[in-house]
Amino acid sequence: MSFLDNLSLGFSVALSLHNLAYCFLGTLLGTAIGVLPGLGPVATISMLLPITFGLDPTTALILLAGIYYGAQYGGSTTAILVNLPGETSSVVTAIDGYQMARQGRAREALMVAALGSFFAGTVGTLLIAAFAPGLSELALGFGAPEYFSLMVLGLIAAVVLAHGSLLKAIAMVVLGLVLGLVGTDVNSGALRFTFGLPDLFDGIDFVAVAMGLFGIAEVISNLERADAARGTVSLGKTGGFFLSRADFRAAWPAAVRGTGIGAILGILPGGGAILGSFASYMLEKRIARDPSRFGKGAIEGVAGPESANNAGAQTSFIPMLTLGLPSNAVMAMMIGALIIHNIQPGPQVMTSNPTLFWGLIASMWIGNALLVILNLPLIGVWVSMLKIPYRMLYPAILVLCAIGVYSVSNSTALIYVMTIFGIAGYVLMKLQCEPAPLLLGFVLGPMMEENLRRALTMSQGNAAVFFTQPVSLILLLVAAALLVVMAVPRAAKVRGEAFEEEAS
Amino acid sequence: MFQHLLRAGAVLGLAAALISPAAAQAWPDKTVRLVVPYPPGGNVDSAARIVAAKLQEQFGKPFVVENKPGAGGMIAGETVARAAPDGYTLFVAANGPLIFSPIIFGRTPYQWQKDFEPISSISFTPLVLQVNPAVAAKTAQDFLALAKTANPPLIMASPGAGTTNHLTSELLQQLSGAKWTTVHYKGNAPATTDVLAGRAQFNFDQISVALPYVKEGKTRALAVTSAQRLPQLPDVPTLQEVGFADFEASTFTGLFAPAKTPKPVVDTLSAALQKVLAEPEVKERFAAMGAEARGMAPDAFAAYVAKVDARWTPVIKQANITAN
Repeated sequence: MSFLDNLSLGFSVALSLHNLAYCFLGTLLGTAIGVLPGLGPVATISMLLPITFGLDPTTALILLAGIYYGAQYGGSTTAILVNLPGETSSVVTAIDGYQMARQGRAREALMVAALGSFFAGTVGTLLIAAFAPGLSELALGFGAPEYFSLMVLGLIAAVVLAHGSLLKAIAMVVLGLVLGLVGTDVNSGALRFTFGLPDLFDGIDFVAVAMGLFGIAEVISNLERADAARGTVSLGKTGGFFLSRADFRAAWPAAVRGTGIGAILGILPGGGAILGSFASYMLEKRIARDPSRFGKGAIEGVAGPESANNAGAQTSFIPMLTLGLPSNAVMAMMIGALIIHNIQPGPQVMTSNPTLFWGLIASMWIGNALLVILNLPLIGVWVSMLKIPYRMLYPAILVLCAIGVYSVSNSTALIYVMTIFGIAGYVLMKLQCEPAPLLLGFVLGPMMEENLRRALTMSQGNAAVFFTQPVSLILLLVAAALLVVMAVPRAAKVRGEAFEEEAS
Repeated sequence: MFQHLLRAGAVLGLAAALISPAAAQAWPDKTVRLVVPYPPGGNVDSAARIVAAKLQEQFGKPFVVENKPGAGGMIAGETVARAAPDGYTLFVAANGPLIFSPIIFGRTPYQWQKDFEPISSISFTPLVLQVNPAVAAKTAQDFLALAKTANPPLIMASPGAGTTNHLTSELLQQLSGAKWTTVHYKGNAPATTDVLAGRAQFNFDQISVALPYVKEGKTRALAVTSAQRLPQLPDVPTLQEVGFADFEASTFTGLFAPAKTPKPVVDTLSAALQKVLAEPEVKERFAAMGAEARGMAPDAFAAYVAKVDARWTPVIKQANITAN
C-alpha cells in the first residue's frame, strides 16, 4: 500500500464518530490533568486502564494517546501561568514563559505554546507516517556509548541555560548531579545516600523536586512582597486575539528548529525526549542576536522548547509502535493496554493490525488539531484566572501541588521532599542561583553515569569505544566545540554582557 | 472508676472477639484495597486490575487497586503488613517484594511466613532464553558450550539487579559452570533493545515480550524456564529437558492478607479468586500477557511460596546480590 492509501485508511478509522469522540475525550482529560500541577498522565491512564478493557483496541489506544499529548500540552499552561512545571519538558517553558506572564504577556505565551505544539504535532505525525519503519533502526543504533556522549553534550549545554553567573550555573549542575546519585545504582543494585530511608531507595522523585524548586519557591518569594507589589501577573494590554506580527516573526523559526530537534531526539527510546526542550532552548539562546533577553521573557524561549517537546512526544511513539519498546511510563501502559487486547506490540503490528497502526497515527493529528481548537478559546479563561487575588490563589496552588505529588506514588514522603526543595529553592533564589541547570543535572547525571559504566562493562573497560563509535565521537566533538565557544573571549564577552546587565 | 473502665474495656474486647466471626460473614461491607508494589502498567499491576474488576463484580463492593511503588516493593509490603487484619487491605505480591527484596536490601520490615496470610496464587510467568540471531549457537547446549569458551564473555542484558530474570541467569551460571557478563538496565525495555541491536547477546525475557521478536526472526528462542513447554513456543525445550533437573524459574503473583486476618475471610477470598481465575475469559487475558492464571487454596499456596523461598534464597546468597 502506498503512503496515501495508508493515511486514508488511518483517517477513515480515526474520523469515525466513535473514535473521534474518544479522541476528544482523551485530549480534554489530558488537558485538564496537565493543567493540575503534578497530576501526570501516568496516574490518569492507570485509573482509566480498566475502562479501556471494554473498548475496541484502536479506540482504547486513541483515548490513551489523547490523554498523553493532552497532558503534555496542558503541563505548559501551569508552567507559564504560575511557574509550576509538572514534567521535565515544561521546566524549560517555565523559564521564559513565566517571565512573559509576569510582563503581562501570558496570552502571547500560551498562544505561541499552542500554535508551536500544533505545528510540531503535525510534523511529528507526518514523520511517523512516512518514515516510522526506517526510523526504528535509528532507535536501535543508539547504544550505551552514544547515550553517554549525548548526555555529556546535554550537561555542557545545561550551563548555557543559565543567564547569570557561569560559576553558579556550573555549581547548580553539579548539585543536581549529586542529588541524582541518591537511590539504587542501576549497574550494581547498590544503595547510595539513602540513609536507610526506604522512601529514598528509588531516588528522589523528579516531580517533587521540580515543583518544590519552581512552584513552591515562587509562592514563598511572592508572599514576602507586599500585596500590591506581588509579581503575580499583570494582565497587560493584550491587544488582538492573535499574536502580533513581531512576535510571530520571532517565534516561527524557533518553532521549526525546535520541531526538528525534538523529533529526532524523541525517537531515541533511552530518554532522548527529555533532552528535546533543553536542546532547543540552548540552540535558540546560542543563535539569538541578543542572548541576554533569554530568561527575561523571550518568545523564542517558549516557542522552541514547546515545539520540541510536542514533536518528541509524537516521535517517541516510533520505538513503541515499530519495536514494541516503551520509552516512558505512559508508553509502557499503552503496551499493557494492547497486550490486554491480545495485540503484541512489536515489529509486526504495522502489517498485522494496519487499522490500529494507521488509525492511531491519523488520530494523533486530529488530536493535535482538537487541542488547538480546545485551547485557543480557553486561553482567555486561564489568563483571567490570574485576576484572582494572590492570597486566594496561593493556597490553591499549594494544595494542588500536594495532591499532585501524593498521586505519584500514593505516599506522603514526596510531599516532604517537595517542601524541602521548596525551601531550598527559595534560598537558591535569594542567592541568584537558577534551578533549571540543577534539574538538568539531576535528570541527566544518573543517565550519564549509567551509560558510562554500561559502555565500559560491555567494552571490557576499554574507554576507546566513546571515540571509535562515529555517532558518539561526533557528539563528543560537538560538546568540545561548545566548551571552546563558551571559553573563547568573544563569546565570553556576550555572556559577560548578559551578566553585567543582570548585576547592574 | 478506673477499674470499672478497665473491666468495661475488657468486656468490650471480649465482645469484639466473639463478634469477629460474625463480622467475617458480613465481609466485605466496604471498599477493599489491593496494594500493588509497582507503578501502574506492569504485569503485576495488570494482573491486579483484572482480578479487582472481577472480585468487585462478585462481591458487589469496590475493589480498588492502589499502587505503592518503591524500595523493591517493600513500601507496599510494609503498608499491608501493618494494616488491620480485617480483610480490607490486601497485598498483590510477587517473588521480588515478598522474598527477594528483604534479603537483597538487608532489611526485614516483614517476614512473609510471619506477617502475611497467603490467600491464593494469581498467575505464573515463565521466561524465555533468547539470543540475538548473530549468536552462532542454535541450541541451548551449544549456547552453554559457547558461553564457557567465549572471549570476550557473552553479555546478558538484565532488567535490574535482583529481578527474577537476573536470578535465573545466576542460577544457570551456578548450575552449568558457564560464566558471562551481566549488564543491568533500568527495566526490561532498554535491556531488550540491546539484545535486538546485538550489543548484548542474550537475555531472559517474558514470553509476551519475546514472542513477536522470535516470530520475526529478530531473536532466537533457545529454552524456556517453565517445567513444561509453552503452547506459544512448542518447539522450544525447557531447561529441564536441556539437562537441569528440577529447573523452574517463573515469577508468581499472588494475593496476601496481613497475618491474623480471620480464616473465614481468607477462605472466602481464596475460593472467589480461584473461581475467577478459572474463567476462560480471564485465562485468555493472562495468556495474552504471557502468564498462566491459576489459583490455589491457601495451604497449597503457602507451600508453593515456601518452595520458591527455599530455591532462590541460596542463589541470592551465593551470587552475593546485595544492596549494601
